Amino acid sequence: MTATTDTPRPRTILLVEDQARTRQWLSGILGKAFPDSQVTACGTLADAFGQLAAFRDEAEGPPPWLAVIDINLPDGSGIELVREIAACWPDTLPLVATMYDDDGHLMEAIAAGARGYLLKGDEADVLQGYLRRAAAGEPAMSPSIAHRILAHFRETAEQTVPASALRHQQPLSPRETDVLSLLGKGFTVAESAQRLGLSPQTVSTYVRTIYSKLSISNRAQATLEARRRGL
Amino acid sequence: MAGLLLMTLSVVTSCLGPHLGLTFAPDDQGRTPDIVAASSPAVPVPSRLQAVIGTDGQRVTVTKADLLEDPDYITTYPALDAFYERQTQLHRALSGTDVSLELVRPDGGVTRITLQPRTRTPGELPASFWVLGFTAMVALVIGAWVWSLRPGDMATRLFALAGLGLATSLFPIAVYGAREIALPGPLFATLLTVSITGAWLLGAGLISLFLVYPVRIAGNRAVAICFALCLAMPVLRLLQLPPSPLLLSQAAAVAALIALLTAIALQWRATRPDPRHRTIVRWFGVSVGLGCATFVAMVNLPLLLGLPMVLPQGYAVLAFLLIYAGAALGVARYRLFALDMAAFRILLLLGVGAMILCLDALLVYGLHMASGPSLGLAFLGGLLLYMPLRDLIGRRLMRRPAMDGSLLFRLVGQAAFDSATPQARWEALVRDLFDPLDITPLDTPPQAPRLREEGLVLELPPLAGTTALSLRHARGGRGLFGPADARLAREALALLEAAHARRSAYEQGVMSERLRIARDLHDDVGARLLSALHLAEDASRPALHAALDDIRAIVSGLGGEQKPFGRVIADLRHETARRLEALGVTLDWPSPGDAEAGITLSYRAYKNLSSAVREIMSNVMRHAEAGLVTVRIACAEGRIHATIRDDGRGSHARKDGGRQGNGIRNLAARMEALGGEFAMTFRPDGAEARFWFPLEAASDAPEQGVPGQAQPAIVPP
Repeated sequence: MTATTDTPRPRTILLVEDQARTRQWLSGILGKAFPDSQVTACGTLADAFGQLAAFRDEAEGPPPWLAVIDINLPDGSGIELVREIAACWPDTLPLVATMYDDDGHLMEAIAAGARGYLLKGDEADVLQGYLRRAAAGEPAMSPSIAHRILAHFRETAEQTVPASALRHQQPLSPRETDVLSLLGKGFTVAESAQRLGLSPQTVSTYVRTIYSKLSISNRAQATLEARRRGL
Repeated sequence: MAGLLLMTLSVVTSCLGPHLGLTFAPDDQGRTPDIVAASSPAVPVPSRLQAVIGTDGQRVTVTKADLLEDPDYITTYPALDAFYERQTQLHRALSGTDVSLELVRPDGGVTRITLQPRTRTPGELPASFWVLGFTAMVALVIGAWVWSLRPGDMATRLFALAGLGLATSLFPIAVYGAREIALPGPLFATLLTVSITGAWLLGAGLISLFLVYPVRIAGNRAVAICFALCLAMPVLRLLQLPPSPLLLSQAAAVAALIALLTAIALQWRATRPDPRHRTIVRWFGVSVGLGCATFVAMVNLPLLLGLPMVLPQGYAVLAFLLIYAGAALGVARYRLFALDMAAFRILLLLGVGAMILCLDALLVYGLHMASGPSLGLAFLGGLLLYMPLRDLIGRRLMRRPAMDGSLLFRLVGQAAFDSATPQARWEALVRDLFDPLDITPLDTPPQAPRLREEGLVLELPPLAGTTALSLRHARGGRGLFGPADARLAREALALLEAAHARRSAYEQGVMSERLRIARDLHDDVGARLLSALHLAEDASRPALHAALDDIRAIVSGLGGEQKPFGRVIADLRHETARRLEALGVTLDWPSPGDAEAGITLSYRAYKNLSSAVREIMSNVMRHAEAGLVTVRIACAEGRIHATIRDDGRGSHARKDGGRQGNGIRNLAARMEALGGEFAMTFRPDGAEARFWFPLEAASDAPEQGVPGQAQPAIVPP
């Protein structure tokens, strides 16, 4: 997921945030967290799509390795951009920036393919730590999101779906469920690892897997839904 | 039909008998009664009939017995045979073209006159004939009516049989009672036998009826024995086995009455657990018992004891009408024999048919009209009378507690907008409408209100937010549910559903407005606060953070959420762990146990708890320089208890700082306002904050917004 460090041109980060001051602030934090990266900031969804398209012809160099996307944008939902990146930009790590970690849109964003989230209300140093860890493949997960994901997989397991659709539907493994339950009780990744007798890295890998299973499951569901509607 | 035929037959038989146009006074002097009126002017009035002399010159003496309505008082078989013999002779004497009568005047002189007997018109028959005939017809019609509506039912069969018995008994009495002086002896004997057989059929039918209805207290064998015993009576009489015909008829009648009353009493006892059956016994049992007892008391007992009769038998039979009036009203009020109001429509149609025939007969015989136009007129009259009659009967019999539209609307309105739960509101409304003894939820809901168990139960379908209900024992157990109740329930349901729809539309409007406010707060105000946060100096950041947290809490409060205690702790723990993790502080905070799994916190309790924990944590992080923070939060007996301990500088930090900060002071004040407590202790090896507050009292406590001007709790030197 992380790009190699020996590219000739500076690596880029795409930041999409409509509030100017927050944009500046986040841009500053991103600069501090990743000093070797250059931040391309946008205020609207259209602008962000435009920037992304500019990277397509490689004139601007390689695509951004990280995208930090606000969900509530004046001209639409950041989730659309997350979906686009998850589908077409395999080298870009999409993260969403949100105000609250129990926001219903956050779950939607993760299902659309976001690989982590940031809380815009966090202190700058806390945020820097989170950004580094998310970039290293240790995404955060709030209890509220953990509960939502658990509920999602429980519902999916109860649904009767055609076998063809089940091909993409991977249920959570028992270990992944354990990890989610602990995170859902408010334990951190490190605390969960200690309780399960695992290394924090292993637990982080589980969390990453859970993220991707959710988005795969979500995509399969969307396909299924489309097929049911005859699209 | 059979009834009409029998009636006609009786009328014809009675009319064809020889008639002299004499009217006898009621017997009270123990001798042959006086002639008090006569159609022929030749008859001196008053006078006494002493003998009849026929065309062949044979003189037959007339005794008191010959002129009596009923020969039941004759106590010996030879006397009865003699009576029949004299009746035959009298009849023969009276059947000639000319009949001579020996009349004794009050002064003792004897007059002999000659009259020409002729036949009678129906209008000339005595009133008692019509009373008997009418009673018999009522018995037949109501018996047949009940039976025809439930032909397979044993109870209706027995009831109809009893009616047939009564009619069989009454028609012969009508015929021989309407004779002026004599009937042929064999005809008289036959009529009497038929009458007695009918009477016993009535007795057997009624006693058996109460053996099986409303609850079966005896088997078919008992019913058969009852019939066998009763029908043996006329046979015994024919065989002349009992010592006296009087004893047989009258004493056995009293015995049968006692048996009937016993059966009714047994029914009363057997129906104790079931108010529906109790009602039937109370109503029907009393009318049957009273009807029979009245007759026995007026006719059989005086005969048995040799006392004078209060009323001629011809009128005493009116007592039996009590039974039929009781049965008809019982059907109307208590769904006797499980019949409903539709039964009355059938009876009414029958009645109208009979009325047309009667009118026709009246016009033809009474006004000597041609039969064609008279039938037309009768039809017209019948039709004219039908509607008012129907209306009258409908209103009299089908009356229910008045439930007019406005009252129903008021009740439903109350039910729809009451503050109680929908279930409680619905049950209260149902109680107001039907006053049932028992309301139970129903597992298999009906599509629409329906009557079950012969009107004992009314089942109601579920409404939004309520379960289906089964109502038992309408009107405090005094009545049964009828189609009118089902209709009323349907109306109430429809009204309530409409009211519910309006109410939920209104609530939805309120909710969507709340959600809009919540969204605006969350998105717009939150984003502005965030922008401010990102520009702010360190001193004002905690206040902005608190404002953002308040917005989150308010938004979830506007959504009307109740958060599970476990989830509140999880969120708080997550937030705290993140903050402490960044500082490298270890957190000791186990997740809540299963005992607290069911507890939910209101938005206010949640907000108070989370602000307190945040405030204390901010203090710890700023000043304690701790390596371990221990948190215990429990919820029990309606209180939240929290202890937050650190192993930091404790009293050293306090000594350095010198005073408590605003945040902690605010916290203490807030806990007090909530009815709880806050205490902070500093030791050399750390500090401990403890607080508790009640879950419920949070409702009237002052709303706490941004916790004042949050300043560093302990100002560093």
